[in-house]
Amino acid sequence: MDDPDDRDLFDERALVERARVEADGFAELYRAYVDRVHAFAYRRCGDPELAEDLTAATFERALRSLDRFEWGPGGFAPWLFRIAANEVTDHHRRRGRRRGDRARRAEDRLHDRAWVDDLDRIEGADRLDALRAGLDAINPRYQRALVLRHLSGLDHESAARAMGLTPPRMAVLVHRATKALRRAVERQEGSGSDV
Amino acid sequence: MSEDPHPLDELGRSPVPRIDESASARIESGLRVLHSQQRSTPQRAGWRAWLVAAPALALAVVVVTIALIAGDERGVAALELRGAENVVIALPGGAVVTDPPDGYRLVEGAVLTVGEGGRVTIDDRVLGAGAVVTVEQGVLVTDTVPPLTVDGPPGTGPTSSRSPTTVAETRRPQTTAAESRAPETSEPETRPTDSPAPTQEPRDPDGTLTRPVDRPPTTSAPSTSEGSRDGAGEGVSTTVRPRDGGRDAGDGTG
Repeated sequence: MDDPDDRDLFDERALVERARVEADGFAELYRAYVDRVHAFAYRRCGDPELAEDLTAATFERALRSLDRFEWGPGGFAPWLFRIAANEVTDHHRRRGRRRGDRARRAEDRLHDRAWVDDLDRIEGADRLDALRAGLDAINPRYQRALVLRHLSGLDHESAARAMGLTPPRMAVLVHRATKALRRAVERQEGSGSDV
Repeated sequence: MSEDPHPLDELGRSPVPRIDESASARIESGLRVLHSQQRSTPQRAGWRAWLVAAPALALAVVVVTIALIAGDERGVAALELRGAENVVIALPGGAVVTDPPDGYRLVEGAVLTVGEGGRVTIDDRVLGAGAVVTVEQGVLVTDTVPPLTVDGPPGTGPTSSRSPTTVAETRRPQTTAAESRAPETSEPETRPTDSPAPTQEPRDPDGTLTRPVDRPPTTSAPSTSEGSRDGAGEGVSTTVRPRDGGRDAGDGTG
């Protein structure tokens, strides 16, 4: 009569406890989550090699912080994806700082972006790149909320937990972040057409 | 959701290539190494703990320092004497200070006695003749030793009492050691020789006038009253006797 989800969480909790003290335990935890974390990073950055780097950085930070992890209702995933979201966001922030606004605009001009109402005009990878560029432009908190909610595979409650918010507050944050993302894409479109 | 799909849903559903097996294995081996290093260097947790503990420690040091300074101010800056007249201070080390100058500060454990006709101001507190105070933990404590009553002759009866002034002076004989005040009266002279008053003998023959006043006066044996007087006489030679004490006795006999 056990709930499979509960049983899974129970097993995962035991695995986390083992991972604290045994390298094999952490390796097992890594193998359980590496594909999801890599997918998350790849969807956010669109670059396989960068996604691998971000995946490695995420698990390294998780390992270093594992002593401070406290088991919560959502299990290990929200905590791990919060780290991943921070890694991804920090990476894009650093990259944006290095490139500077002019370089970023120059790169953006390479893409024929139009969005929101004209998303259908953009095909395949270009459309996704437009979204990624829009994510780069909004504030880090909004970025984290959006990627945790829509790119991590976490459900709404788990994503809220990963953000440290209640589900209603998470919904509000995602709503505002979405509007900010929309404005960011429109702004980039405007600046691209100016030049 | 169907009527307003989020633009990122498409990104969230977009196909993702699997992580390269060799890259994944490389990450895993790196994590294993890091894990073993972490286990072998547990001081990292200590380092983080220090990050938290250091501000608390600094705060504690500040608080303790302030407390010490405040304590010093209470215990040293206070208890300053002015206008000391006929004042004797017995210091904890055994030294005796007589009529200290203005600005003299009482130290911990000092016992100050104001002699007859004397007075002194300690900070804002004026003490008159007979006052006996002690410095305890930086605070001036008024001596609470009960007044020593000395029986007068039978005619005076038990109602003949001494004022606290008298008591204050009689309880401090060892500090004066006859260095500043000559004896004026002796206890045996005031004692009725025809009345043994066995339970009221205040002194014993071995010159225990130097003992504290809170010593029960009934310790000396009544049968040695004569010897006691002799002993008291010896003690008198080195002890300040209260003038009013003699007067009391004189009143009693008169």
